[in-house]
Amino acid sequence: MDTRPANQRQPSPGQITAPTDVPAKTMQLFAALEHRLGAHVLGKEEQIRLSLCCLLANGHLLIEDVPGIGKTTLAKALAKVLGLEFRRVQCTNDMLPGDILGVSVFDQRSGSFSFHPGAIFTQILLADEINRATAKTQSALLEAMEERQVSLEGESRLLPTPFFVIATQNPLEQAGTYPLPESQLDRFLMKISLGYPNHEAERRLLAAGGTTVSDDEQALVNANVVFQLQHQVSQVRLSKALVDYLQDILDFSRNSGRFALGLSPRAGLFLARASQSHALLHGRNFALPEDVHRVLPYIAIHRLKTADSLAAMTIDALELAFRAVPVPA
Amino acid sequence: MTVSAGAAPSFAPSRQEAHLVLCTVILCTLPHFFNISGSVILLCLALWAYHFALHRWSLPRVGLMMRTLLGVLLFAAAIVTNEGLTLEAFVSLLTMMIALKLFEQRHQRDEITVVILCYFLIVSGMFFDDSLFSTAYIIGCILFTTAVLIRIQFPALALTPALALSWRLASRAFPLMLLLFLVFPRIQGGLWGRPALLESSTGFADQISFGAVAQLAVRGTAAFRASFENGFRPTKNQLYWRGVVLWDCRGDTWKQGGADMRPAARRMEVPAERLGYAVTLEPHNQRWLFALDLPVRVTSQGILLRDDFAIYRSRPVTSRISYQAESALGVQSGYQPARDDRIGLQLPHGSNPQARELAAQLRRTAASDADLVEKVLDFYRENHFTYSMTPEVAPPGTDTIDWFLFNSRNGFCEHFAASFAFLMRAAGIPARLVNGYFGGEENPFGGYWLIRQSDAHVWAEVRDGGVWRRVDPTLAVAPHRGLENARVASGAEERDSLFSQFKQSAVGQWAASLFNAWDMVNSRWNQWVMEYSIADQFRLFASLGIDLEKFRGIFQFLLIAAAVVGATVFFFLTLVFMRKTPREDDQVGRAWRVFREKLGRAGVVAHDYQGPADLLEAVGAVRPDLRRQAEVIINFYIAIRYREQATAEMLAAFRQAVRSFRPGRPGRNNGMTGIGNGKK
Repeated sequence: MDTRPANQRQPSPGQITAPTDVPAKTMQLFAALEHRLGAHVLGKEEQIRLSLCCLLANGHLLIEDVPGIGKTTLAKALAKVLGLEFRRVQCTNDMLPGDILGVSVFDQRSGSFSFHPGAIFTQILLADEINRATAKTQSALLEAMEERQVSLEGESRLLPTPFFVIATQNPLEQAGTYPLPESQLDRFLMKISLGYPNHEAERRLLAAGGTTVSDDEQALVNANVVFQLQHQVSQVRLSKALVDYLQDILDFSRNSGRFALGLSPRAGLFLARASQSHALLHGRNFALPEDVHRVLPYIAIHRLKTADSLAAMTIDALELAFRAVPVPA
Repeated sequence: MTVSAGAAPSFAPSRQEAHLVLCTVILCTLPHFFNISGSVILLCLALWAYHFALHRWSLPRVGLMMRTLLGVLLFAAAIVTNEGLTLEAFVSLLTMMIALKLFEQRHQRDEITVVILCYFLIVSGMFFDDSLFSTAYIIGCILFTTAVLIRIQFPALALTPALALSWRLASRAFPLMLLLFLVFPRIQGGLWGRPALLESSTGFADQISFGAVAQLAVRGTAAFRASFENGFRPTKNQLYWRGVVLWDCRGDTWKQGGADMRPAARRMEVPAERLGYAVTLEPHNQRWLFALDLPVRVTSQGILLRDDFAIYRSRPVTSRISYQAESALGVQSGYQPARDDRIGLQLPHGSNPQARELAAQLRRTAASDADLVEKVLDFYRENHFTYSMTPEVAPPGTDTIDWFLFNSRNGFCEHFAASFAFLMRAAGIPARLVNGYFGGEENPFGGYWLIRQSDAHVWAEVRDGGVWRRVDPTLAVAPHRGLENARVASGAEERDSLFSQFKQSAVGQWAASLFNAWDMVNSRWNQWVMEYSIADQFRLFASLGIDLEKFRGIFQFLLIAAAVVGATVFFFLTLVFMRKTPREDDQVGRAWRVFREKLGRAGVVAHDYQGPADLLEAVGAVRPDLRRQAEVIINFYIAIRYREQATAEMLAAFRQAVRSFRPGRPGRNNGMTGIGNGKK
């Protein structure tokens, strides 16, 4: 049995010699995206690929890690490279929903209220240390994430498309934080952590004196292309055999008795979409069980807790646990 | 990536799983330890221990040759140690073969086989002991076995949820079980009857071997239970439970004889009042039944009440039975002069001269037959005879009755009754022996009397005018036998022993009433559940307004026909509905499994959780020489299963490619570079 940690494993089933159904241009674009992102976040190819996968699957991303590891850099680089509008909020416990969503201010000159949109009206929102915000603010943000619109004073305002939230949280400092409840965690498609750079990457980082994402960084694509790619993801074939497999996985998470709470139908949808997105990133227009394998732990990690101790599980433990589900022949 | 290390077996149960199966086997075998012989138990323990050790330390495995050899040996052992094809032999065989099967675990189905065999093993415990306690144990075992079966099918499941599932299954099946129990036609005794048990559960024999080592049961196990009608409470000396009548005296031994016996008259003139009661008899593997002296009517199937008032049944009592009886207390059986004179006086020639001499001497001095009986009883009273359950055995070659009467003067009821009857016959008075039970203990909770094996007793009957009169010479010697049972009476000298002190104490009284309560619960369980018979079934239907007796034959035929038709329909329905996928897909799946098995033999273990692409990587890592072949097959499979672009040609090509995929065994080729190092 293979017990090496996940990040030492070859991440890609892309070498499978199935005929490529994805245009070469798209594959080149993916390569270029990964290359450019890799220049900003050194030595984190797998996390870069996962966050691309998450965004192409139109899902929000939660990054949990200690400070100074490059969370913000990754979010900023993603926004710049994809040519999307980017804003950032630093969450604190005195923050109010209005600080994120926006407020209506009475304009004495015109004698009416005018709406001043908050930070959320952007395409990529980085919510730093989301667990420092109070439950009220969190729920305002998370509602917007799900609905992709903001309802204020009886008026619904659509958010720009595409719209991603990249939230970060610090696993160590627990004083004065409001941990996200399960229902709100469920809205993030994936949770990843970056981890320290490896020896070689850190050396490069030190030699270069750090990487900065400058404001005049050239975008590789624009919102339109991102939109098209998302559409392409939804066209990736989910065969009957694969849907069977997905269902087996969901059943297992609910009925095996290993987990306190099974995966929700929403998590199931996310899993399917992330598998499609992963397949596309590897040049296939059909998903394989391997795609499911690669994304599943990151989708499950913030949703599943062990049945006996209600403890969070590690990526490796999850991968091992789901080995109990056979791939249908 | 998963890389196999050489030719590991394709199925290797985890240690935990193997231990779970072993645990099931042990749990199911344990109750049989009382039933099978010691050598079989030792063999089982040895096999289990080796199996346990096999998974703990890497001991040599048991190969096919060894298993075959062991199988033959164990078969022989099972037959030899149990005197042929008895039920015990079958159980021993089952036990040992299951223990042996533990060593043959090549597929998952082998594990399943072991566990399913355990069901048979545990249920066969019912043949030996169907008390409430063992029934509870058996039910517990069945629940556990089902849980283990579930665990094997779904290894991801922990044992606790598996147990919960097993419990849920069982509780859902319970109403069905209840329904079948109540209405399914009960076949009494089966086609051949229940096989007899080797261990005769009584010390009660059809003959009395005088002077042989005492085999009388000193066990406290139940012989039968009796409950009297109208709350009648007999006194102790009314409780002579008549069993078998022994006519045939061969000196040392007394046998049944009685080939000349006829059925008792159907209508008997009984002056006294009749006493009705119900008897629940534990199996004793003999054909006779017990009833209070003197039985006048017994209602049960296939019963013969002979005119010496022994009750015989057409088949041996191999399972617990109940019957109604009526007795006339204090009435004596009638004397049939023509026949009883002939066989009631037979004695073997020449043996026991001293006893014959004594008989002749007393005959000369006695005024009448009745006086003679008194004189013989006086002989016992006045010559310091003592009662003991473990008398001295006569030295070989001596006349045993002479030795008992004039040397040892120490024995129990068999000795007294047999020597008494011998003296009577020698003196010309017809005499016979009755083997039965004497006494019993009232259970205040259940309102019934419990008669134990230790109440077994033998007494004599002698001619007294026109009747047979009961004479119990044991009471002449040990009057307390009339109050206590044999076990206690033999310790009469040590009356103030610890045991009797204990019995008198408060704790003793409390323990006795606890025992009585438990016996009552068990007896009710037997009465209501274990003895639910076809007659009860008819009564149940009758209370619902259906008279089955009227068209019994037709009903049985219809039921059997319905069962056969139902089973057939069910079988075909399962065939139709259990097939998950249409035929074409099935072929793809089957070919894929074949391919994976072939890879397994080639040293590449294909795990269930692996997708096709990962499998290809594994092939590349372990057997680079097979990679190109495997790639073609895997690409076909992906195209069919995941791209869903299958054409008929592609399907055919895929199956053809799998068929012609012939990897060599690992080690025979030179492409072995990747084996064992797990690197890419």
